[in-house]
Order: sequence, then C-alpha cells, then structure tokens
Amino acid sequence: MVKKKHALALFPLALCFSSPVVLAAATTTELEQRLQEQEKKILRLENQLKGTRAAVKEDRTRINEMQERLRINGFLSAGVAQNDGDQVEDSFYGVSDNYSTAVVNKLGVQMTFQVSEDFSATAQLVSKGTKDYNVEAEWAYLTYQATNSLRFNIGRQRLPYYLLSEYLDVGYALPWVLPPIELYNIPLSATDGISALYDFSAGPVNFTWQTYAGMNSGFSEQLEADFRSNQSWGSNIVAEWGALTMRVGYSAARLTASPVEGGSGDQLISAIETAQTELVPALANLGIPVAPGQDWLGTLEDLSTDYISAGFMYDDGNLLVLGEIANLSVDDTVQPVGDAGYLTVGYRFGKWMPHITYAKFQTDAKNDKQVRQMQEYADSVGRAAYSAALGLNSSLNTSNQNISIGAPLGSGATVAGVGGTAANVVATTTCTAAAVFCSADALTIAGVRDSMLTAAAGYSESLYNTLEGQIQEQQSVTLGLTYDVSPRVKAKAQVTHYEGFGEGNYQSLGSSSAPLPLGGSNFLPTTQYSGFSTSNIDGNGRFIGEPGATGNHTAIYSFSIDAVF
Amino acid sequence: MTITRNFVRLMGAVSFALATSLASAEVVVIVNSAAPVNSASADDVAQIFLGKRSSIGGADLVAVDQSEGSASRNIFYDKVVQKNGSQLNAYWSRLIFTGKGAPPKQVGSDAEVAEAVAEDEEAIGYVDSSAIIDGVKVIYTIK
Repeated sequence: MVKKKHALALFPLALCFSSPVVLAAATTTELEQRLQEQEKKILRLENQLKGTRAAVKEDRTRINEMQERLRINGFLSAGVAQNDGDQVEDSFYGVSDNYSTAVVNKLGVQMTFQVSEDFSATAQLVSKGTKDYNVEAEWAYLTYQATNSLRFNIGRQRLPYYLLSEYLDVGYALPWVLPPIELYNIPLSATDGISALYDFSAGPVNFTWQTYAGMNSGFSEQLEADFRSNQSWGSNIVAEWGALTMRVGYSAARLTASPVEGGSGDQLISAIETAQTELVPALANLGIPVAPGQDWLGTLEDLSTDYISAGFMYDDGNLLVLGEIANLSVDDTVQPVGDAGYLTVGYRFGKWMPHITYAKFQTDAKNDKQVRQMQEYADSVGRAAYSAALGLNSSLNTSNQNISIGAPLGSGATVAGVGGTAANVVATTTCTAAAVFCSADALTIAGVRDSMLTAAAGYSESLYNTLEGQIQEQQSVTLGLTYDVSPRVKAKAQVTHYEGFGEGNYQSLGSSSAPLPLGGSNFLPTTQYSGFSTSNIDGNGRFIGEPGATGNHTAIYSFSIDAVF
Repeated sequence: MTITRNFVRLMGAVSFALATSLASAEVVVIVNSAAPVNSASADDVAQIFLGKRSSIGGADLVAVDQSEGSASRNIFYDKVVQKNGSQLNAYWSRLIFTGKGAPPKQVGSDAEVAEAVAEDEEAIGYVDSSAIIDGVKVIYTIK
C-alpha cells in the first residue's frame, strides 16, 4: 500500500520530466498559446474564488443589514399615585384615595422594519394600567419616504392634537409623572388614516408641516360615551430654532356620540328627553305650558368638533420652559370643553431637575351658553311642575273634594313623565264635568302632585346642578423633581394641587318643615318644599362633590420610574 | 556627523511623539476625502447628528455614530451637540416613538468610524485625531 502511494505521488514528477520532451516537439507559438490558456484558467479560477469570497461577504452584509433594518425600541413607566381628596371624578386620572399604580404603569414596544429604501413599517404596541394592561396598537403604519423632505404615513397613528399628544405615553420624554390633565384630556388618541409630513427650512429655522386625515374612535370618561368619527383631519406646523420649538395646530372631526346606558351622559340626555317628550305635554294638559326647548337630542350625531392649540418648548440643556394653550369646542351638545393651558419651568442641576407647573382649564363661553340654555329649560320645566303641584294641592284643599285643577285632564291625556301614578289619573277619571274631579280621585291627585314635586326637585335642582358641573373652572399647581438614574432611566416625583376657581350657580329647592296647606292629613306630600333659591358658589373643577362644596380640591402625589430602551 | 544625524532623528521622533500625544486629546469631525465639503461649524455638525439636517454646504451627509460609552462620543456630545446622555435619549425618544426620526447608526469606536467614513463618500463621523486614516479629512476640530 505504501509503495503504491509513493508511486502515485511520483507520477506528476515523472510527467514534468517527460514534458520537455513533448515541449521540444512544439513550436514557440504553440507554447505561448498554451501558456496564455493556462493563465486564462488561473484567472478564471481566481475570479471564481473572488466571486465566492464576495458572495460570502455579501451574505454577511445581508445578515448585518437585516439586523440594521429592524429597529426595536421600547419605553416603560412604573409608579404609583395617591389622591388626597375623595370628591374627584373618575376621569380625574382615575386616582382614588388608595394607592393607584394603574394610572402610571405603561409598557410600550416599537418595531420598525425598513422594507426597502423608500418604505418602512412601524408598529407600537402599548400596554397600559388604565386599560387593564390590554395590549393595543397605538401606532401601526407604513411609511413612504417620497423625497428627502416628504414622507407619508399610512395606517394607525396617534392624533397630533397637541404639542406632546403623540408621545404622551413615553414618560421618559416628559418632565411630569402625570401630565397636566387640564389640557391633555382628550377622549380620542389614535386615528386610522394617512398623514403627510413635509420638512423645510428658512434660514436657521427648521419646519415640519404635518397634515392628516382619517377616522377614529374613543371614549369620554366624563360623559361616559363612545365617540366615533369618520371624518377627522388636522394640520400642524412645528418650527425649531436652536433650543426653541414652537407649534401651532388645528384639528377637526365630525363625531357621533353613543352614551353608555345609565352613564352620566345618558342620564343627562334621558332626563332632558323625558322632560321634552313626557313631562312638558303633561304640564300642558294641566294648563301650565312650558316654552319648548331646543332639539338637543338630535345633535349627538355628526357633532362638529374643533381643536386649536399653540405650544412651545425651550430647552437649552439647563433651562426647560414649556407651555401650551388650546381650545376645544364641540358644537351643540353639553360637554365640558373649552380653554386649557399650562406653563412649566424647570432647571437642571446635574442629574436633578426641579420643576413647577401652573395649569388651568375653563369651559368656554360657547359651552357655557349651551349649558345655561339647558339649565334654563330644565329649570322652567321644574318650576312648571312645582306650580302644577301647588295647583293640585290647592285642589285637594276644597272641602267637598270636587277638585278643580284649572284645565281639565281629559281622557287620553298622559302624565307618564311624572311617575307611575300618573296614568291612573286618566283611567279613574269618572266625572263627566270638565275641570272637576270626583272625590274618589283625590288620592290619585295627591299622587300626581307628589310626582310633580319630585319632578320639580329633579329638574330645577338636580339636573340644574348636574349641568352646572359641566361648567368647569379648574387650576392646579405642580411641584416636581426628576433624577437621571442612568442615561436611560429617570425617576420622577411630583405633587399637584387641584382646585376650582371663579364662580358658579347653585340651585336649591328648599325643604321646609312647614307642610303645604292641605285639605286633610290624608294628602300630606311626602316631601315639603318651601321654594327655589339660587346661590352663588365657588367655581367648580372636575370634582364629584356638589358644585362649590368645600371638599372640591385635592392633591395628587405621584412617583414613577421611566425608562427607554 | 553620525551622532548629529542620530540626534536630529531622535529629536524628530520625540517631537512627533509629543505632537501625537497632544493631538490625541483632540476629537475631530471627519468626512470622506472625496466629500465636497472642507469645513463646518459645530452647529452644522450637531444638526446632522440630531437628524435636523442632511447636508452641509450642499454636501449630503449621513452621520455615523460611535457606540455609547466611547470616550470620543462623550466629548463629542458634550462639546458639539451639547446634550448629556439623558437629554439625548429624551430627544430621540420623542422622535422615535412618534415616527419622526431615528438616531444615527452606531458602528463602534474610533477605528470603525474612521474606516466607515473612508469607505462612504457621504459619511460623517467623529474620531480621536490619532485614529485618522487615509481617505478621510477633518472638517471640524473640537476645541
């Protein structure tokens, strides 16, 4: 075996020695040709080798590129907030007097994939404590980079209503644990549609102009209503000049509101509806006409809303000043909307930054006017019901129990709006003479009277005051401190004091211990009323206490750890 | 003669070493030798690295960043961009999570950046001056 191997190894050598013999026979030209062929072969082999190397390199680059093409970023906020007061609406951050972590806790992961040079796809999934940690896509869009300065985003995007709206969930990028609710309190957050962003500059100022159109939906915690919009659009322009960023924006939407059954919005609407469709006709039958109110009910569809805002941020590395003013108006419905604004000033001392914020919100004149109109209507219905009750009561006061109540209650008339006993009035009316009730109906009449008294209190007092709560004037002061734990982790703490300001009206239908003058003890009303009074009270913020109540202020303490990665 | 020549050589070497050691304290902003730009202001460079601009003096440029933690990076962001790590992350997170921008690609440290800039006509980076190689030119020196 070994020998054989040697023999084989020697074979090429033998060939070499023998080749001169062959070569000697060949001409010089042939020799040169062969040499050239050999050289070509070598060249080909070299090229092949190069190709293989290039292919390997390309594969490596491709892998690198794939890694580069996919970008994953995330943000996290974890913390706690506590409310000092107890007369605070749920929509007031949902911070109860117990410790709440849900209001602060958020986790977001964003993935961007560069599909090609011009196209990229982005998805941002966010899990929030306020939404039971359900994972929702706040952003999911395709970007088309048309030119260096123009790009289109198609898909789901955060609504760019205000200066910070689009990154309100990224706690790390904000100085506060909880941003000023006076302004950043929009029931809608995302839109499905298209937006165009155009960059341009003029001298040292860089501009970005954004315009979007789409459809969106959301939930108003204040009115407990779902909102839907098929026509939503807006435009804003951001100017950056060194450390200064300025922004103005306009957004509009045509909304349809669907109040949750039994929710605060639903209660308001059904109260007005009952007045319009049942109580007012009943009162008319009793000879007490009420001027018709507006058609507030048909306007829950196709509500026109407008958002206008102007904000700025100055950040030179040490000094941070940011502020924004905005107006939100919703046509033809009662919704606590209006003017909001805040101003924040902070100063960095190394890793620490103390800051202070003053924020203010007040419903605007337009909203107030709508509320006042509805209040007037509710009050006029209530007062009419009160008059009706007094009229029925004096009827009961007749000694022969043949009761005159002004206008006749003819058969077929309904007073269903005042309670279950109302129908009985008609059904048991047996007297033939107009405007006279038989003695057998006295108890029924007393029942209607009591229902009217309840309606009077319900409309003139409860509804009036609930509507008053839709006129809001609130201000707050926040003291905060942030600390850079590491370049990607921040700790934040703040305390905010909220209170109402300005003035409001409060209506009361006073109770009295003195009974209404009655014909007999059988007909004593269950509640005695002495009459209406309207009082001037402190302005009302977003508190659940009665307007002007002393408990209508609160402090919220909050703390969070925020990270980006 | 030999002694003198050697002495001169020695002095030359010493002064060269001295010069490089002094120079090594400098971080310089570099572009590809072929790039049609020869000088820039700190503000120009900062704007490129913050994604606010994509050219200097008509030359299209793409920022090539160093990885976090490198000495040159700290000097560059402190002196040129004038943002510390937290401010920079806050700045980028405002852009990243709103789809308005992304930070520059990070390629490593001085040597990798120099190589990347030498290979790409549109690249702009910053390196310690000791890492300068053929194929790049300095357009700004951080004082």
